[in-house]
Amino acid sequence: MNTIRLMLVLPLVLVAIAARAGSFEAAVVDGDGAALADAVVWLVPTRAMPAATGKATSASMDQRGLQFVPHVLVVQRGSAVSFPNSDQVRHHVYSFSPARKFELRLYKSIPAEPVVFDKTGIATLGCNIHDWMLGYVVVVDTPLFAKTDETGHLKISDVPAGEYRLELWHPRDLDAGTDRSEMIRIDGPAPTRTFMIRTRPPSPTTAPTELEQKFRAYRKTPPGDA
Amino acid sequence: MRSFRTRLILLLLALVGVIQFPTFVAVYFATRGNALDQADQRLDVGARVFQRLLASREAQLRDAVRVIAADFGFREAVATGDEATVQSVLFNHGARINAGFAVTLDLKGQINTSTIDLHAMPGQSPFSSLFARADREGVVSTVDRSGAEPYQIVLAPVRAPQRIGWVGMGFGMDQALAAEFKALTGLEVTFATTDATDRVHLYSTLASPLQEALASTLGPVGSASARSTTLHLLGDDYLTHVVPLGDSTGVEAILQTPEAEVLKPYAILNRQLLVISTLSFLASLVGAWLLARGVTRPVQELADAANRVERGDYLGTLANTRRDEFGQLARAFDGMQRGIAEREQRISHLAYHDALTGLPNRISIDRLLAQLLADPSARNVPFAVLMIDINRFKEINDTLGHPIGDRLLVNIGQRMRAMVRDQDVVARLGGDEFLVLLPDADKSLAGELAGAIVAAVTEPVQLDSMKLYPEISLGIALYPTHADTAEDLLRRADIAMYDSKQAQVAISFYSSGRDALHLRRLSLINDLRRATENNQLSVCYQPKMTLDDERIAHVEALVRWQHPVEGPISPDEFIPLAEHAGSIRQITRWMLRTVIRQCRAWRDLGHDIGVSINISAMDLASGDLPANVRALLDEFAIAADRVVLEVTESAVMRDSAIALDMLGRLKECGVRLAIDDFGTGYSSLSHLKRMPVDELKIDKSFVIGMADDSNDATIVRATIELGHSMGLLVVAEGVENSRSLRMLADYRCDMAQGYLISRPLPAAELTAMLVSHNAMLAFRPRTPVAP
Repeated sequence: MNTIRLMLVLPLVLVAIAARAGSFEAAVVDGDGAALADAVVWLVPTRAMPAATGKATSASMDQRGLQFVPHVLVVQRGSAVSFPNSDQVRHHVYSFSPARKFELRLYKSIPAEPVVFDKTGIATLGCNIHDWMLGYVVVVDTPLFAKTDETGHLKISDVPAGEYRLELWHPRDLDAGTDRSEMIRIDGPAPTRTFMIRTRPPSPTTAPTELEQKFRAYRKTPPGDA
Repeated sequence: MRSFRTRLILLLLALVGVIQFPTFVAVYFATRGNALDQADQRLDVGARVFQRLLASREAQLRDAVRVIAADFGFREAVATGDEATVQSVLFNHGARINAGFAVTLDLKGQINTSTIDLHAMPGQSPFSSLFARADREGVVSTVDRSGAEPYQIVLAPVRAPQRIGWVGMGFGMDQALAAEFKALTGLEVTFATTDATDRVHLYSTLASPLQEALASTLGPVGSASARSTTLHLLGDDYLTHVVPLGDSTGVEAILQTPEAEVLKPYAILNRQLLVISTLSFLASLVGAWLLARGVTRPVQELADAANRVERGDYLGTLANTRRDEFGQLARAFDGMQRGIAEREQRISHLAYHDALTGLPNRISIDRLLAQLLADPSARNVPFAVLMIDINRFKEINDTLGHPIGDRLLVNIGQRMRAMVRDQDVVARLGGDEFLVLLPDADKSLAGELAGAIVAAVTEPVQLDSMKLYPEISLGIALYPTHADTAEDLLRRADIAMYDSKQAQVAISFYSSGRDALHLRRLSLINDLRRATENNQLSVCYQPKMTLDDERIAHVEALVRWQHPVEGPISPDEFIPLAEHAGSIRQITRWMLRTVIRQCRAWRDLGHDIGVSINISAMDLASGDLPANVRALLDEFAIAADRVVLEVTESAVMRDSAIALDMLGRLKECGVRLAIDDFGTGYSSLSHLKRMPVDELKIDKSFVIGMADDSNDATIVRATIELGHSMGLLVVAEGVENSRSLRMLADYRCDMAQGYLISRPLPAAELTAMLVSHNAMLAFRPRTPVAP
């Protein structure tokens, strides 16, 4: 028990030691050197940290414009993610991923229960009605994570000094399955790391089908509206 | 030689053949080409149908695979590794479209679930080549093979929503598919692949021996483009269409149809065409035969008829009632045949009959004699041949004209005919020669009938105003007494007739041994014709002495014939022959010319000599004699009174009217005329009185004997006185002794001629004699009689 307590105390000491330093910045580019959005980096401390569960809260994966928004959602393990439906149509969101299997049968607005992701891993989200809808929930066991913005940059602030296992993931990683993890040491401000991930081209699935366009056009001018 | 009919038939058949054969060939090749084209098209269509079949199956597969890939439950099952569910889904959907197999694979391409034992497909992931396309296009379909097994596959990724695996469905391209396709198109279908060892594997509707043949014919299955060819398999030709399937996968569909099957309906058509051609050819043959017969039969009939006519049968008739050209020809032919028959009958009659008298001719007699002699039953039956010649007929003809002569011949023929029995034959051999054949007649009967004939014929004949007294000579030869061949009989009858003529009797029987004489006569007659040309004739001159003063102022020209073989021939022998043979005129003409020329020669020598030339009775019948004499006198400038023409009394007496006429005309020429051999004929004094003659020559038969025979002397003396009383000069011939000469001088005969004075001498000798004689006279003037 003492050992455990000691174990809990030690990081605090360390944090205290490195109280002043603590952020990680990175830029992710694809094989062509272009900025790559939706790349996720998370840092798993090599030692247990008391504040590790601090961010395990709730999150929301919206469905808007027949797309999952955001495309990639990173949550800490144990978070409950709600799936609000901002569209006028129903969705049938599912995931067969081992990280979290679930199925939200046809619903509108917000389904009754949020989905709790209590296993790390990546849950690939789909909609049984709209096959092109694709979203990811990245469940990590650390509060230290970030996702690149449109410019391909990310920043993890308030990283206590220490040693971390850095993980890197991108949904269109051509080399998915390879171990990208690396050990890094956060010890005050560090220069921005640049990662390169070769990617598959994105699936061209978001555009409305020809059929949908016709349908919409028809709705705008309903028969007998003159 | 081909007959016209055969040629006609052949020509017509050749025409039909020329039309039919190209037609047949054209149709044959057109239909064959058409059939093969159609088969090719059928193969083409088959290939397209096959492609469509594959496409429709592909569409089915696509639909099914899409449905499965999109099925939430299936995806869930795949995602969760629920193999039993996955399998049941595959079964379920596979069964719906009757798929051959269904399969799911994981993301690495490893087979998760399969309805067939895909272990038969070597390699870890048989579809790996398809994944990229399937991922890109959502679904991919192709024909592929696993080892040697061809199949059609549709493969789609299973997404949830990201790809979590693959699902595929397909059909094996096997025997069943081939059979199905064959049922659809009727084509033989083979799927061919080549395994790693270049062994060809086939799924085929062909019978297994054919499959083996095809496999060995086919090379390794490549990725060649579609091609058409004709393969020769086990003795049959197969039209073949090779369709490569899939994308360079080494799977080919081979569509085939046996050429024989393709050509079968056309073979029937061709057979029918051949039958039709053959039938129409046979019909043409019959037609050509009928046509040829229609054309050639009348021609053949005409040819037969012509052959019949050639054989001498004129009785047949074509009796052709046809109205066409052949009918005309047949009628013309009948007419021609009748004409020929009539003419032949006429010719035949002419050939065997004398045109003038209508009596049988020499040819007829030859035939009759031949028949008679050839008849064995008549061997020993005697018969007689009578040869008859009208005396001096030529003179009658020449002086009275042929019409009179002809009428006389007809008349005599009729009379003879009237005198003989029915079975006897009276024939005219030509000219004035008649022959009477007396079958079954012995010597006495022949003589009796001959007498009757002579009696009848010598009756005077009144022709117009003229009364003629025909005389005939008749010779008889008897069978078998005198001869037993036709030739001998005729010749001996002729000899007998000639004997009659010579003997101046009417009837002679042939006497044996006369043949040689006759032959000599015939030979002499023949030679005599050429005597003048061959200079065998010569002239001798016998002086006539004037009894008053013993001067020789006249000579008588006498012809001499020196025969090259026989030697000199006496004029007494050859002149009658010449008269008989008609060559006397030629001799007379020659004499006239020779003598008158000689007369001129003497005159040129200073001897004024008168010449006497003997004229035959036949010469008197020759109308041109006066003109001839006149021409010669003019030519040699000889005074007409220096020429004396001597005519025998008998010659003048025979046809006195004609003779008198001729003598008158000669007299007009100015020549002197003398009657020769006076006293032997039967001339009456009144006759003599009418004749325009200047001299009488007393026949030597009287003169020779006058010295010893007072009768002759009396006749001579009377004749001289008679002549003087009529104002004629009298000349005595045959003076051979001086007594006769003195007597003649006493009788006051004007001139004497004979061997006593001089024998006949050639011209040169005579000239010499004249010179000496006249010279002698000059020295012995006026002595009345020579020694």
